[in-house]
Amino acid sequence: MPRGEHLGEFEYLIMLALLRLKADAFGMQVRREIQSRTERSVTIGSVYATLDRLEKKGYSRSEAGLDDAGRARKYFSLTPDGAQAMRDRMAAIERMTEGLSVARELDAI
Amino acid sequence: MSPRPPRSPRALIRFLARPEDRPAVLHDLAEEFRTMQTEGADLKAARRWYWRQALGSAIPLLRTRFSGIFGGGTGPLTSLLDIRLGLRMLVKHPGLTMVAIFALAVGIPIGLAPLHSAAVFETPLPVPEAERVVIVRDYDVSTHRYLRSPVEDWVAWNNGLRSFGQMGAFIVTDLNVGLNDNRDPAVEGAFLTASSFGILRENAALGRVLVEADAQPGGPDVVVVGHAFWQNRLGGDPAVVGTTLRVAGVPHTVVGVMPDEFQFPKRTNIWLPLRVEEPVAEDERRVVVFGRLADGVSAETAQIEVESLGVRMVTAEPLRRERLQAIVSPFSIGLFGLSNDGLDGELGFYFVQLLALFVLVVACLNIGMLILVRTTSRAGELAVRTALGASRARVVTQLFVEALLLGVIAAGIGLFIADRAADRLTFLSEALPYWMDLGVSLRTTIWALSLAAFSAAVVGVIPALKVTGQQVQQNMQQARASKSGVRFGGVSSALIMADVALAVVAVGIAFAFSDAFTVVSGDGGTVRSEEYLYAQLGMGYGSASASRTSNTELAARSGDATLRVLERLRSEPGVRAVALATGLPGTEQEYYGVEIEGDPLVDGQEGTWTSLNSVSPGFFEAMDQPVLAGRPFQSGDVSPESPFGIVNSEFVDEALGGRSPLGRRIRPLKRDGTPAGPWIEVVGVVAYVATSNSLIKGEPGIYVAAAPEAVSPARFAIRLGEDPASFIPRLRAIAQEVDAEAIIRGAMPLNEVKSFDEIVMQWMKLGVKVLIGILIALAASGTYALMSFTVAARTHEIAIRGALGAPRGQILLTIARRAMMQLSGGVILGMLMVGPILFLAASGGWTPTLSPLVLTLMAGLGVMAAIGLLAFAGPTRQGLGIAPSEALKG
Repeated sequence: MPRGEHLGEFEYLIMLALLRLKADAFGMQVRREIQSRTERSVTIGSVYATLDRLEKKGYSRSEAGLDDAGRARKYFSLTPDGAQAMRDRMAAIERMTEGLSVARELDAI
Repeated sequence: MSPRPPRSPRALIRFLARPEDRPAVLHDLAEEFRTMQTEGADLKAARRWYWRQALGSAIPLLRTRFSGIFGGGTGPLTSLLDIRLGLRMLVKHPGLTMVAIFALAVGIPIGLAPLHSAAVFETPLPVPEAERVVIVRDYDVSTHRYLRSPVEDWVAWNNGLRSFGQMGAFIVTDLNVGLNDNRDPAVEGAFLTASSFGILRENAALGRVLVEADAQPGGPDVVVVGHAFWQNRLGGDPAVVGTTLRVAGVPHTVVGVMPDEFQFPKRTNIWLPLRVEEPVAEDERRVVVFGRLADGVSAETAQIEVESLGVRMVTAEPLRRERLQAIVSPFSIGLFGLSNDGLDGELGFYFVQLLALFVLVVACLNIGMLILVRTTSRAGELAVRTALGASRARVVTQLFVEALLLGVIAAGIGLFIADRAADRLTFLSEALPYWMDLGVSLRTTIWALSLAAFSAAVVGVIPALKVTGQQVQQNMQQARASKSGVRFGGVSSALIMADVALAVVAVGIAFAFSDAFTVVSGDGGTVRSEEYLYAQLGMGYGSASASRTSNTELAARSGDATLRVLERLRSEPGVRAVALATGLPGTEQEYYGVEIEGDPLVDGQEGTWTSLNSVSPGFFEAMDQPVLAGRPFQSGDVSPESPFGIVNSEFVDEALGGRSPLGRRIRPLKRDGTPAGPWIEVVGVVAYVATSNSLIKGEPGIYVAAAPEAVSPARFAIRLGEDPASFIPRLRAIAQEVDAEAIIRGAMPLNEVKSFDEIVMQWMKLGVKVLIGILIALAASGTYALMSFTVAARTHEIAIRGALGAPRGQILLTIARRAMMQLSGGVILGMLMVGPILFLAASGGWTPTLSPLVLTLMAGLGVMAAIGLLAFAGPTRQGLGIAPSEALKG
């Protein structure tokens, strides 16, 4: 069971970025990934703060490493609890949108 | 070399990020910063991005770092709610916020400036275990000065000391590198022992560093070049090792390129072997001796050993050594010739520190008043919170957080401005060694934040304690009656008077020293300085690479080069005239007291303080300066034993009281009253003034005729007409053709020449102007806040008096009386303080004048009085406007 309870939008985006980047998931790469895909301005500080929160919830883990030039880098990855939390979130959205043509409904507003 | 990310935001991130995240965050940001530039973004855009990242990351990083304290919003000390509330208060009171931020943004950097400077000078070398690299230097106990050491001492220390793992020595000098047809400027170089690289634990990026074999007499002529030199002057050629470079006219083989950012010991880009030949006693060179302490040996132990060796050296050569004491000093401190305590040990440092903190105290005092007024107006709200269960500590914490936010924002802005200002102080930063940086460091950021916290405690907690100290019930009642319940009584009067007095003193200081703010000279006075090219000719230590050079030999070579350059210039097409002197307008000058033959000097006095310049014959003609009386110099006037001189009209007025100087004999005196040279016979009078100091307009001057080869330092003024700067490359080439070791320094149009003192003075003048303006602005804001508050507190009283039938004039008079007493009391207090300042200024030779600055400041004072009246008028008018029935209802 996941230890954390609530998953914020930015946390979810970060977890998706970790899923995409896999072994290449370090702070600035995560920031770039979210910024380029969501077109929203993201600071490195908010990325690190959110990753720290996810780690405390047990959804992600970090590992100190070195880049090609031998400089310090911190790599992040999802934990099984994190994966479960994402599954739960996706399932919740699926259940909420089941039988609903979201695009058409939104256009009608 | 790609530029590094800006320092201040880097320091901010370093401070805010958790230690375990810090390297990764900084590295990530640096990498992105570089990537942006390689992808085509310009440096400014990349820096802006970095700043945005740092500022945007501040709160998330802070929350992460102090998550234990914030506790996700309900922590024991404070909460995000407090921060939000604080931010809301800042937005709600924009006037107060702006004044407070402005005051602290100025007060905090000024308060920190002396400490910051001291820290800059103590920055350790960027090498492993830098604290173990020390300088051994001589201290002259009779003159209290630190001296460079003779080569002989270096040899004795190197052979005799066991406290050092390795010892080295170096000489820094400018060197011509013979590129671009000798038209390129000289490069700062260093002759150093091969051991130096070992002491610094530094290796070459390409090729090798210097080795012992290079330093042997008769060894190969080799050179190691710096990264920047390699990139900029040698085109970054990867096959540079093995090529030949002409250094001071001699072909040298390039054996290595040092890594980026290595410029030991100053901003050096060329390294050559320092050769020491026997007998060392005849070697007149002076070196800086340094070393790395041996494992397990402390600097104190090394000092004891150095002293005991010193005793033996005194016994061997009592005459030379008995005045000298060898001292082991941290490298940075030793390089600057500071005492081992750093700037802290320098006289006057604490005074400057105190003065700087005074500004911060004034800022805090005024912001404190503003916040006290605001907090007081919120007494009702705070009482309600207390009644609903908030503890006193909780309320005080909230008010503290509000003030802290103000302080932190102000400190951030202040540091940003300080960092920008440091970038502009190029005259200072270029004089510092490569590892010292005037920019804002992590340590300064921490100090600034500490000061912000301290200021917040003063301006936030004290008012909070005062307001929350009252009975809840009483506050509630007063809140209902729309009154604060807090009375300042005599305190407010004292504070207003202090503020007004402060403004008066500020204007008084500006008036007393108005001379300093208005006189601008150093541009040559009557000289058409824009038509002249200025340059100083000197000699590098080039031949030291091959063998020792005696000072006499060096002086002779220098004199010979001066004469030959002068002759070459006189026959150069386009050159209209050439003047040669030891001092020119804007350059450093030598000053002496003067004795006039036949005029007895009063004991202990040194006569009129006068600049003394040696000039070559033809000087005044070349500078287009007419001789007002007597005659110009002739070639036969050059006589070192019985020299001839020309004085300026200021000298005639000040030293001779208008009497004719022609035929008189004068001589320069040292500070102790002893003669500094032979008698000089005066043969003429000119209007010409050469001064280094913009504070002194038209100072007395003596010009002594000297042979060109005896003019040292040799300063040239070359009259070229338009665009004199375009002649600089040609001048360098001429100098190098005359002597490969002749160095042209500081070449620039004469009207742009400023001595170091002059530049420092200009910055100080700007600083004082800004400071005075700030003091007045602070005083005005504080006065407004207090006065409006104290009058507003009487609004109800005014209304009741009106309702009871008192005439409006009488009410106005009653209320105005107090305001006027406060304002006039402040003015009187200020005038009392200004009196001694004016007296001191007048006795120091300053002439107070109504300069535009003084008039502006007086206008500022007028505005301040108007602000005071405005603060009084608003609430009074409001009180008079209340209907009698409303007033009596209460």
